[in-house]
Amino acid sequence: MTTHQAADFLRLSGIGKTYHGTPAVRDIDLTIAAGESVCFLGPSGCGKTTLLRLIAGLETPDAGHISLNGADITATPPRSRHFGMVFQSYSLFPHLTVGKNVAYGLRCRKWNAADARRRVLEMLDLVQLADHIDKLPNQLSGGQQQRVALARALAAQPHVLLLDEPFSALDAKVRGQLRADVRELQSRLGITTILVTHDQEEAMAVADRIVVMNRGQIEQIGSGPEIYHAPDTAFVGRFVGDMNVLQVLGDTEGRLMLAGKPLSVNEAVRPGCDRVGIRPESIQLVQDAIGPNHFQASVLKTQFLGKQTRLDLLLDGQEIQVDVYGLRDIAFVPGDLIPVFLPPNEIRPLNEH
Amino acid sequence: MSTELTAGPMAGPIRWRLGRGQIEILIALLAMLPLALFVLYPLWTILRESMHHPDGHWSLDYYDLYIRDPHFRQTIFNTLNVSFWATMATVLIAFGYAYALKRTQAPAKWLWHSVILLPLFAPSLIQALGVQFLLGRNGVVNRYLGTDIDIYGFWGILISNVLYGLPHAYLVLMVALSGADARLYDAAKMLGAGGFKRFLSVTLPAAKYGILSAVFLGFAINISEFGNPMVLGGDYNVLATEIYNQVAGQANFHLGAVIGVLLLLPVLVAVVAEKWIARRQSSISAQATPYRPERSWRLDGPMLLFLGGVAFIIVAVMGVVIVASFTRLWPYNLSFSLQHYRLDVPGGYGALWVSLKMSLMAAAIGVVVATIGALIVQKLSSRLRQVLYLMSVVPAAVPGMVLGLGYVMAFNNPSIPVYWLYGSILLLSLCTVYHYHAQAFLIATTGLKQIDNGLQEASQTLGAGVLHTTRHVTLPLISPAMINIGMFYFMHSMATISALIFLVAPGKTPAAVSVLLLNDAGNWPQAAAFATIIMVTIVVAIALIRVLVWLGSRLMAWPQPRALQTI
Repeated sequence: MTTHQAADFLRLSGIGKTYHGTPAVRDIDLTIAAGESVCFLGPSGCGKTTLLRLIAGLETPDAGHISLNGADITATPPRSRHFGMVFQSYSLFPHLTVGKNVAYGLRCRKWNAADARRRVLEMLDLVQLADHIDKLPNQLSGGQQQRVALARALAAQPHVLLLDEPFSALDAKVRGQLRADVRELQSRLGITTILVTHDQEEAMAVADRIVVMNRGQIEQIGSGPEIYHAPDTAFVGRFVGDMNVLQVLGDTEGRLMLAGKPLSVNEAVRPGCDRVGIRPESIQLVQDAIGPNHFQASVLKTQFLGKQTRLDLLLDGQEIQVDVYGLRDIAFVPGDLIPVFLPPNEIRPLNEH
Repeated sequence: MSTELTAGPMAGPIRWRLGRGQIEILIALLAMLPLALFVLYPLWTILRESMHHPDGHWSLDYYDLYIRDPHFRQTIFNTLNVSFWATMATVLIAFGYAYALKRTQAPAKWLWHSVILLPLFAPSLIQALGVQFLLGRNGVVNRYLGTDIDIYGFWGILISNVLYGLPHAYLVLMVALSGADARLYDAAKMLGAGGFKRFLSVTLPAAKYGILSAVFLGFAINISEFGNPMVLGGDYNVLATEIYNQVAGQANFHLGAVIGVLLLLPVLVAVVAEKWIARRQSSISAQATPYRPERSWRLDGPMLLFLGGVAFIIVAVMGVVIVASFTRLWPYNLSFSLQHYRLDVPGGYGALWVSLKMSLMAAAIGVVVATIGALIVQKLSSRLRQVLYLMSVVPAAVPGMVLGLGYVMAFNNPSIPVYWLYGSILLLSLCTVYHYHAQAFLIATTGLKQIDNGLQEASQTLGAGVLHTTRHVTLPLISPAMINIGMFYFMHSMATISALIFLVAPGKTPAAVSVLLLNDAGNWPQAAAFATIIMVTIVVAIALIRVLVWLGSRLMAWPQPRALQTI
C-alpha cells in the first residue's frame, strides 16, 4: 500500500458539479492527510454524496481538480483510482457467494488465485465472517452484509476507503456496533477514510475531522468538539445539536447589545456581527435580572422530558429554548417572568456565508 | 332458553357458509364448463383419436407406426433443429435490441421500439411473403443480382420465424433488462471491473431468468408456427405443416392426432418452464437506484447501427409485401397497379367481412370470458381458484394447429349437442377466443390486481352487495384492461391462421387464411394485397379505438387506461 505521509494526500481544489442547471457542489477546496478519517456531514441534498462520488470517479466534476499523492486524477476512471467504496445498500452481487464477492475486486486487479484466496480469508477473518464464506448475500443479516461489503472494499488494499452512509440501512443496535468496528479497523489499518453521513453522532464517533456541508458548500471544517462547541455559522450550530440564535445589535468596535443592555462575549467579535448562538443547556436560571448578561424572559411553555426540562422562553421578543437539568419542581405557568443568565464564555458570535 | 341463545347466532353463519360454498362451486363451474368444452374436450378428442382404433381397442400403434417411419423421424428432427436455431437467433438479436434501448443512449429509441413491434400488427406469414419476395425464386435479389439463392427450406423457415418471434422475445427481455440497479454497477466500477466484466457479472446475472424465459417462449412460438413453414418450407417438413398435410391432404386423422400430441408435448414443456422461470425473475428492490446509461459513442454508435440494421430488415420484409401488392407483376414489371386489389378470386372481399365479423365477435366474447374468468378466480377459495387458474392458462401451451385439429375432431360430430356450431363463424370466433385465452385472462387478472382492494371493501362496508360492487366499482376500474383485451383479441383474430386452417368452409374463410390459400395457389400478388388490407384494417381499428378511448376520457370522464398494451 502506498501510504504517503504528506498532509495533502488527497487534494480537492475548486470542485464544482451542476445537475440540470442546479449546482450540487460548488467551490470545494479540501485537503485530506494520509491515514486521516474525514466525515462529510450535512442534511440530505447538501451535496455530500455528490462530493464523495466525485472523489470516487463515479461522477466527473464540471470544475476543479482532484489529486492523489500529487498526481492529478480528475479524469481517471473509477477502476483505475483504486479506491474502495461501501454503499448504503450494501450492493453485494446477489448471485455471488460471500467469498466470491470479496474476491471480485482481486480478480479484476489480476491477483493470482492463491494470493487472492489467502486475502479473502484474511479479510473475512478481519470482519469475523470467515464461517459464512460460502453463503449468498441474502442469507446474511444487514449488518453481516455490510461487513462483507467492507471486506470487499478493503480486500485489494485501496488508497482510500469511501463510505456512503454505510450504517443508515441498519437498525440502531447493529449500527452502533458496526460504527465502532469501522473506527477500529480504520485506525488499525491506517487507511485514509471518507465517510458520508447525515447523523452527527456517527460523524463524531468515526471521524478525526468533520466537514459540515450545506447547499453544496463547506460550512465548517473541524474536529468533533470544535464543531460542537465553536460553530462558525447558525447552520452548523443548529445542525450539530440544538442552538438558540439571537439577533443582537453590533457596533463597529465589536460591542454587542441585547434587549437594550450590553452583552458581553468572551470571544472576539468581528465588526458587523449581528447574531450570536448559545446552546439550550448553557443558559442558566438565576435569582434576579440584575448584573451583566442577566435578562428577564417570559415563559411560553414548559415540557418535562425526564432527565431535563425544556423551557420555551421569550427574550427580547425572540423565542429561545432552555434545558434545565436536575431541578425537580418546576412549576412555571405561561406568562411568568423569569431571569436568565447567558454565560459570556458560552456565547458564540456567528458568521454568515 | 339459554341453549337457544347460544345456538341462534352460531347456526346462522354455518348455514350461510354452507350455502356460500355451494354457490361458489356453482360459480366456479360456470367458468369451468366453457373452458372444459372449448379447450379440454378438443384436446381429449385428439388424444383419443391418436390411441383409439376403429374396432374399439386402445393402443399406441399409431405412435409406433409414426416413429418407425424415417420420413417422420426426419420431420421431428427438422422441427427441433430449425426451432432451436431460430430460437437462439431470435433471443440473441432481441437481447441486443433490448440492450441497446435500455442500456445505451442510442438516439430515436421510440422509433426502434415501434418498428420491432410492427410484426404484431400483421398476419404471421407476412414475414414469409416478404422473405419470398426478397430472396425467393422470383425475388428481387435473385432477379437483379443474378444470384441463385434457394431460400426454401431450413433458411427460409429460420429467417421468417426469427422475424416473427422478435417482438415477443424483445418484450420479455425489455422487462428483464429494465430492472437495473445502478448501485451494483457503481460497486463493480469501484472494484476495478471494466465494461465487459460488468456486463458479465452484473447485467447478465440480473437478466438471467428473463433470457431463459425468452428462450422457452421463443421455442414454443417457433415450434408451433405454421404459416412461415407453409410458405417457405419447401421440402423441409416440420410437424406443424405435417399435421396439415396429413389431415387436409390425406384425411389421415389418426396420424394427424399423433403429430398433434407430439407437437403439444414440447410446447407444454416449454410453456411450463417459461412460467416457472418467469416467477423467479427477481423483482428489483424498492431502494434500487435506477440505472441511467451515459452517452458514449463508442457503444452508442455500433448499437445505433445494429438497431438500424434490424429495423431496416423488419421494415424491408414487411414493406416489400406492401410494395409488391401495388406493382403490376413483381419483380418483373414494377409499374404501379391496383389490379391485385380487385381480389377477383372466390371469396374475394367477402373473406375480409368474414374476418371482421369473426374478430369483432371474438373481441366481444373474449372480453366477457376473460373478465368474468378473472373476476371469478379472484373471488374463489384457494383450491377451486388453482384449478380454474390452471384451466385458464392451459391454452398458452396449445399450438394453434393442435387446437384447430381438436375442434374439427370434436365438433364435426353430429352426436354432440353443440354440433350446430360446426361450420359457423361463431365457432371460428370461439376457437380464437380460447386459443389466446391465457394471455387475455392474464391481462384481466393484472388489471384486477391493480385495483386497490380497499375500494371494493369500502364499497361492501357501505352496504353494497357483491354484484353492486362489481358493477359500480370493479368493472369501471378495470375497463382499461377490458379495452386492452378487446384490442388484443381483435388484432390476433384478424391475423391468426394456424388454429383456423382446419375450420374454414366455403364462404366462411377468414382473410388471413385466404392469404395463405392464395399464396399456396401461386397467386402471390393477390396474397400480398390481401395481407396489406389486413394490416391496414388492424391499424385503422386500433387507431379508431384509441381515438374513441381518448374522446371518452376527455368528454365523459372515463378512466384513462394506464398503458394500452399492444400485445
